[in-house]
Amino acid sequence: MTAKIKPVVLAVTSALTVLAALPASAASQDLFLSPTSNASTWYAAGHKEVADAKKLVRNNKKAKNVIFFIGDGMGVSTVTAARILEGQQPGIINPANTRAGSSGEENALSFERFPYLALSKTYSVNQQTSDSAPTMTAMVTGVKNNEGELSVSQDLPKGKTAEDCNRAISPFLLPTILELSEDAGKSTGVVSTARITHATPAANYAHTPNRDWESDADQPAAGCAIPDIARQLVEFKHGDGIDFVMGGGRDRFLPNTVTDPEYNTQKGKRNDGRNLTTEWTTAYKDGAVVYDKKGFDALIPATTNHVLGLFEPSHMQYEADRDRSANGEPSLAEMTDKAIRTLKKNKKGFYLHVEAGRVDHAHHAGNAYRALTDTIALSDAVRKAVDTLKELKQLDDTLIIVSADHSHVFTIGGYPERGNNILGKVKAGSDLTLAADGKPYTTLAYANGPGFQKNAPPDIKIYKPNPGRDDELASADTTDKDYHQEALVPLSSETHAGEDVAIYATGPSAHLFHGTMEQNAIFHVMKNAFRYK
Amino acid sequence: MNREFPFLLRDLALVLVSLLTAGCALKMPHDSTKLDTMALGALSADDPMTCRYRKERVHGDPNLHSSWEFIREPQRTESYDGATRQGEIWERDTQGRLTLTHVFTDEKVALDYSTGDLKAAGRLPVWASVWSIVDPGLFGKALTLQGKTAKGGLVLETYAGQLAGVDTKIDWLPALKLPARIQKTSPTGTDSLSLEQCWPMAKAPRLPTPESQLNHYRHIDYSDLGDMETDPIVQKIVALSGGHAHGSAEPH
Repeated sequence: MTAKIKPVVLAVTSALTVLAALPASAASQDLFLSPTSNASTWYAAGHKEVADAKKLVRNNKKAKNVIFFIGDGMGVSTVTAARILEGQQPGIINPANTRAGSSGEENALSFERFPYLALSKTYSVNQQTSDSAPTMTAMVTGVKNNEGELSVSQDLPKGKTAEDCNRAISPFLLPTILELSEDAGKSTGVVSTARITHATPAANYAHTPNRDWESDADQPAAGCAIPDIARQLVEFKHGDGIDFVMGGGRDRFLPNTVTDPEYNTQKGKRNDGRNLTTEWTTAYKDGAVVYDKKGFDALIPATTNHVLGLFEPSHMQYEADRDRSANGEPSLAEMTDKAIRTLKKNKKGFYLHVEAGRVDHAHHAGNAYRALTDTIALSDAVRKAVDTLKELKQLDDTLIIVSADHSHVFTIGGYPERGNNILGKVKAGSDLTLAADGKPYTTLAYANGPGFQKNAPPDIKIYKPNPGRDDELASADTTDKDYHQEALVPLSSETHAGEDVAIYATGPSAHLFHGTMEQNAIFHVMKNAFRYK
Repeated sequence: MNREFPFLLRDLALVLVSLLTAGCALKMPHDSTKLDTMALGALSADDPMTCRYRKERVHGDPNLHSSWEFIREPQRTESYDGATRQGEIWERDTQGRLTLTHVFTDEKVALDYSTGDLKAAGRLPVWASVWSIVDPGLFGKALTLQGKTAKGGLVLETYAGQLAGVDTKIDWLPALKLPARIQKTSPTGTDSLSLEQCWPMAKAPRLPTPESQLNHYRHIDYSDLGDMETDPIVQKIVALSGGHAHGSAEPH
């Protein structure tokens, strides 16, 4: 067969292919062959992109549903690298291509096929480079605020002391899109692979001057007037309460006298003796609390309401490490699908927030493999959402947004040839490209962070960062899932970055995303889509 | 090639140098043959116990030493460094998953590492290297048997070899599955960790840190450190942990 494969066709096919779990090491190949192309196929593919763009019709309908996906720390370079990594997996090829793989660059993550795109300016009121608290606050309230604070205005000082946690904060509360949706009679859900009390998911339902006040044990005094974040979730007052909650962070809901249901060596972290999981089922007679995949699978969306799924004491596992057994955890895609099928029962529609929360953590650790595989898991979740909405005939009524709260100092550098393993060393032909110091270097790197860890400091503590070059890089398997890329500036934890992040959108009001926008405009697009006053 | 092997070497090197380089004060000589074999002989490896080691660093004057205590139970170990006033609690659950809590006593902070955190940080050790301070799997491989001695019914095996390019000698107590002495010699000097005494838990001068005490510490997840750079306590514990190039990973 001499079919010439158009990159666009290949990309679409790739995006629709369900990704199998990536191998522990993607190193089996240094180079992935490119699909067949020539000048005319490139020209035709580019022409088709424009032709497709001409067919775009603005969807001005009132949205019934909004699904708001966040890749925490998913900057543009992360999206690009994840796209290539996914494209270099054996399952992501055009069926007409009989070769063992694709070169990767032509692949597209599911949300990259969405028709509308904008850039988001992520600075906060007092930060050039922000953390997740003010960025998510901006996106779900429409108002920028200060570092470390959740859904309160910039006029409220950051909470630090016992006095701060007893302050009256009602004058500073910023209504969130989730609260407005509950008030409008819609169903709501929050899903994250981070602790469900972590900054990004919490900004949807909690108001606090300190993002770290996740349980009472995290607060500066006992009996604070401002409830901890876990309590705010369970005691949520808007509408009929949040209908679907899944993520990690079980220990913030359990007292420190109760042994964790999964880890016999761990206990809850609450000092106040309250078991918020039992309070959940007391508050919601139709509610359910699940801890593992078995419990997750047993949930029947048609009859279940007010679900609280807490799958780990702290954050859920990275996708690369996820236990897929009955005692393990659901994937982000599985949670997203279950959420939609649970929330869709409400004829007034729903608001659902879904976060891939651990992209950020893996980048902080300087470990690109886990950051990218969690980004691919987000892509899988978005693809699943689209498929489920199509099946339910609600895709055209649903605004889907995919964005990030902030970026990371993660780079794709050098001049690797087409198809070079994205986790590998920069090569030209079969030869390693050498830097001025005579050593090879990887395509992926960090501007700061812990750096390579082969000669990690010999203590079982936070390890001393290794700045600069890895003397043994030539022999290192940089595609191993535990490899840590080189970093220039030595820091114990790699940092966020201040450049813009992308917003991908489809559905009602999606066309309002255009150009370079302030991050808080995202809320206003959602509000417009729902036609909230 | 067995991919595990280099990691075993690294794990051991990490533990050894960790023990040998953190905080020290003034030097005293030590000799494994002076151990109280009667007291040690009354213990078996399976007994919960507390052991006190002496850590010495001889790299020019002044020579430094400090105490290092090790509490061992079947699925839990706890160490406490008398010089840095920091401790580490390792636990293994019924599924074999390891967790670490790094305890900063003066700051009343507990830094918690989940299994996933340890994997992502590339720092998940084999349990044997945690439970026995050194990984017995290295014996007969990177470290070869140099000889055996017996005193008071207590057998002492001596192993030697190079770990991560450093000459290493270990006096090993097979009955207790613990080292009596670890010595590492580099061009700049010698670091050693020497057993002084072990007690059954019931008679131990130091017991595991009670949960009630840890419950009143501020718990921070390792994976959250990246979002907490402006937190003064986090800045302090990162510095104490050698998180910055000028930090306390340098010899005390």
